[in-house]
Amino acid sequence: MKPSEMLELSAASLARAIRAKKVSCLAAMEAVLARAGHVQPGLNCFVRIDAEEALANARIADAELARGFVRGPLHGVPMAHKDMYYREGVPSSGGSKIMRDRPAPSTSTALKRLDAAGAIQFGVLNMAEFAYGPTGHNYHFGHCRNPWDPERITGGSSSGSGSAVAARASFAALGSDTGGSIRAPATFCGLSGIKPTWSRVSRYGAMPLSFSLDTVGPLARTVEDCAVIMGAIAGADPLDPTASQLPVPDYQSRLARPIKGLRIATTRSYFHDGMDPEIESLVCASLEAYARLGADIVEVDLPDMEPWGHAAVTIIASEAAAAHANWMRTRPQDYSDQVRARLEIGLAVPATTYIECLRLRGIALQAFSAAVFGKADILHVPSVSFQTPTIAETDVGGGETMMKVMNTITRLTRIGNFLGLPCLSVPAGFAKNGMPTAVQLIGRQFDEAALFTAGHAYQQATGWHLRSPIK
Amino acid sequence: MGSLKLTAIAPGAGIIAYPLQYVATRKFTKETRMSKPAAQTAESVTAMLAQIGVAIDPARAPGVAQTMNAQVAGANKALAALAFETEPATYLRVSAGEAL
Repeated sequence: MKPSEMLELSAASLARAIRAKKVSCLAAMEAVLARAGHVQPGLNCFVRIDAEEALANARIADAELARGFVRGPLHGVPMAHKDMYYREGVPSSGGSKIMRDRPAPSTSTALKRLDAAGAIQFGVLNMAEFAYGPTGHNYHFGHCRNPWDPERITGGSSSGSGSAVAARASFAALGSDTGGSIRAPATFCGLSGIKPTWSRVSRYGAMPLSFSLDTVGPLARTVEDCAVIMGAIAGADPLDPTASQLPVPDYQSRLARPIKGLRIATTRSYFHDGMDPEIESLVCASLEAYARLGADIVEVDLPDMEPWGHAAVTIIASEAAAAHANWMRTRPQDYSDQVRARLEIGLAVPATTYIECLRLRGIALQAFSAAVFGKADILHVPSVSFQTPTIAETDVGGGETMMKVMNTITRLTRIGNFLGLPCLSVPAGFAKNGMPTAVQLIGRQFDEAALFTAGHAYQQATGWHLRSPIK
Repeated sequence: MGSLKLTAIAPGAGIIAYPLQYVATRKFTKETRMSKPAAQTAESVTAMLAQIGVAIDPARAPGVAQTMNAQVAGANKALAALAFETEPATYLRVSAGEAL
């Protein structure tokens, strides 16, 4: 198989090819390292590439396979991750100047579990400073660029994850999502990405932003890849007392379930407010595709969610500010203007307001669940409501329009974080300017499996996810 | 009871009498809460941050106060409807319930 053909494989397909000995782990690693080196000058998606160690690990993986030993479902698959997953003794910059040279104290559970599944990490990816920015700008490491159009944003904060996976420079990547940081780059870069239910994946060893809303999840080429990776990383963890004890279903075996009779809800409120007409027509076409696949489409009325969006921003701001308070006292000059300004806002939130916003979450979840899951299994809504902006248009620094830009980009995604529900972003077509867009499927607590089934069925029927920005 | 009066002296305004019954039964409604002016100013933000040892550029303080106020005002409509007994752990109970 030619390297260019190999790089078009999904992570799950590559893993199957490796297990069938049609492709060696070393050949896959050499191909991805060559692609990464080729795209890095234009996209700036990597913070570091560890080629020698990765090649050595690929050789070990090939030797294991020759002995008949398969580590797990991702044996030999090269992956790079957002630079906020700690590996003991190695710096994880978190996209920041402050952490860039600080060796990590321990290895994150998500990385340990991917290692155990056989994936081979070969680098770390650019990201928004401290995962606190939805555009892909980074004033310390340089802005990350979108392979579909390098003048346009990747989305953030998992900017490098979106850019590298779309550019076929990594087979998949971990991101993190506190207000939309997996789904925004998945949308703008044409990828599948899941923000799991809060507490489904251990956050141990993942750089924190907002402990009430932070989630760990993958960005990948296909929904099947998301299912495989989630199967590897989800589950209870004694090192993270907030990680759920609920058993993890076999997501991959449930992918091919029929969706005939699945109840998919649509709504005209909130998620469709002020939508770009072209994006709206793509979202509607996606819903029609589900109807053709045999899903029952039902319309639901949602509660007033505007205050929930404000409450989500308030929680993130308060918790991020608390986490950063020490560095805000001692090293304020080492933050970019934008992150520093946002942390200052968080420091000014009264404690009572923050707690009130936390108190609202349960009531909101009850109201949302009654409105949606009383009638349907999944809610189908856009991930964003606008065309992909340029890097220049959104280069607002810490200025007056900063919060407007930030809040507009995450308006439709941060609701999922506030409610703690699983949300799967799936490519749903391309605008006339050639940029991808997406829908998000929102499911019941811990029912990622239903989202994977619905997303996979859609991808089998449409093929938007197969388009590549690499000519 | 209806004839009881609470009398207060307002500077420069002479004697103003409030029916006690009105004061006692006036409800703290959603509307009164929403119309409550935002609390933070550039000065209060600067003082608040100074109290926890964080220095803020005076030029940025008005913007921080304005943004924080807008954020809180945006959430207020829903916060005003919270029942007294609601606590943050309510979310965990509801979340666990939804998962069953």
